[in-house]
Amino acid sequence: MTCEQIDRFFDQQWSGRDQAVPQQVAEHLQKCEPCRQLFRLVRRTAPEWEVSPEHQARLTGAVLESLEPVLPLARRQFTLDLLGAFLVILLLGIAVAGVRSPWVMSAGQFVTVTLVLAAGAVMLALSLARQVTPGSAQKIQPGVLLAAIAATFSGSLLLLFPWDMSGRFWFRGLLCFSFGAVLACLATVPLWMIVRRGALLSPALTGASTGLLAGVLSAVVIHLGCPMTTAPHLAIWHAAVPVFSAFAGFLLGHFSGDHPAGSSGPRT
Amino acid sequence: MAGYQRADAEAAAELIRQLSPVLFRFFASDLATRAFAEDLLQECWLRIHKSRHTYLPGEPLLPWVFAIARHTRVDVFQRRRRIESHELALEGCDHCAAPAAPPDAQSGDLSRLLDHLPESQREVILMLKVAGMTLEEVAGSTSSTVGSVKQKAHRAYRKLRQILKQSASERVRP
Repeated sequence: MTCEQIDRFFDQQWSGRDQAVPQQVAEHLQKCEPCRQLFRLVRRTAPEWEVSPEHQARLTGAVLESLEPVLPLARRQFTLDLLGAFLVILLLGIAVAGVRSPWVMSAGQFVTVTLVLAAGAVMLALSLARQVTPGSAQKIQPGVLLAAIAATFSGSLLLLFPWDMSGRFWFRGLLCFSFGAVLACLATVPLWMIVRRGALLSPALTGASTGLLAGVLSAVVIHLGCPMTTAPHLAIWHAAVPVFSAFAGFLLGHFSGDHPAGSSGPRT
Repeated sequence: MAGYQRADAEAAAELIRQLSPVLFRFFASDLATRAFAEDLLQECWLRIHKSRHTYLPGEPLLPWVFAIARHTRVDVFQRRRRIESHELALEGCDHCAAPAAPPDAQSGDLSRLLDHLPESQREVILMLKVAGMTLEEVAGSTSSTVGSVKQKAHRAYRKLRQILKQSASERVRP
């Protein structure tokens, strides 16, 4: 047996305290000093690493004092609530901003950008549901997802639309950005109320994800309402809205993170 | 845990009785947090209590608990570091009590060895070998994959062996 095989033995559910050691492992341990030392260290639990009975009694008393029944927060329901709120705010935003782009963009441009934004929104909602449920495996790390959505959105705008700086770049751009930023800030509030029902383990990251979701919503609204179809306008002013709102969400999460993990308290 | 969610006092007390020792070992076996392991345990239970509605009945419990525990450890440690960075040391204060020695003086070298590891590797070893979790449970707690947990654990074992070898050769030298 080699040291690498000992590592694989450690991989098994073996905490070293109350389980027998296989013969082959014992033989290697007799021969290999570093493995033997490592084995001894892992096996040992220092006596002062035990919680005192008084402290345990205090903990039990404190928990039982405020014990009330709670309803488990189903991840699927949470995701649906988030997407439902997203759709309602989206429709309100479209009602205010109107729809112009389908008539000025090509079908390919319109469908691609809409699909990128819709996929981003669904993935963010799924990621948020996992972020607020402790112990959930994340298929894509939240930070990577934020960067991937921002990069895909900006990249598709740069690839699909012509590079043309003419037209009212600054005026039209600031108009789109300010409308989008205000809408994103407004959308963040109800989305954050839903997100707070879960456990906020990393408030800043969860805030950034919520902000980006609101930003994506806002980007869909201005994407539908804006008649300008040039790459600089879309990639700078439209893409700036999700980036801005993700940063605003990050600050919101960071500064409301004084009571992490279920800041809204349990639902009875 | 389902009983705890239904406000069954006996179930809650049993859960605390079973989980507290494991959580305490997780906090106490880290040199950086050992001095306030009891505070950490209390803070952790506060967070578990507040977030108990986010546990899904039927899912493995330890990944849920340890996801909360590891964030508690990091948050409380950072908070204490922030506070300590603003504190001024009193000099020449005869009547002041001497600071209490951390209780790690006699307690085995594992924590000291783990201190040489990067945070992510140390955390994985603590969960696997001190809390006695499986690879799958650690992967759930750290929001990563089993492969990534294995890789971190194996790197940690290699590094620990190196340190043990070094210290052994230093002991041999006159």
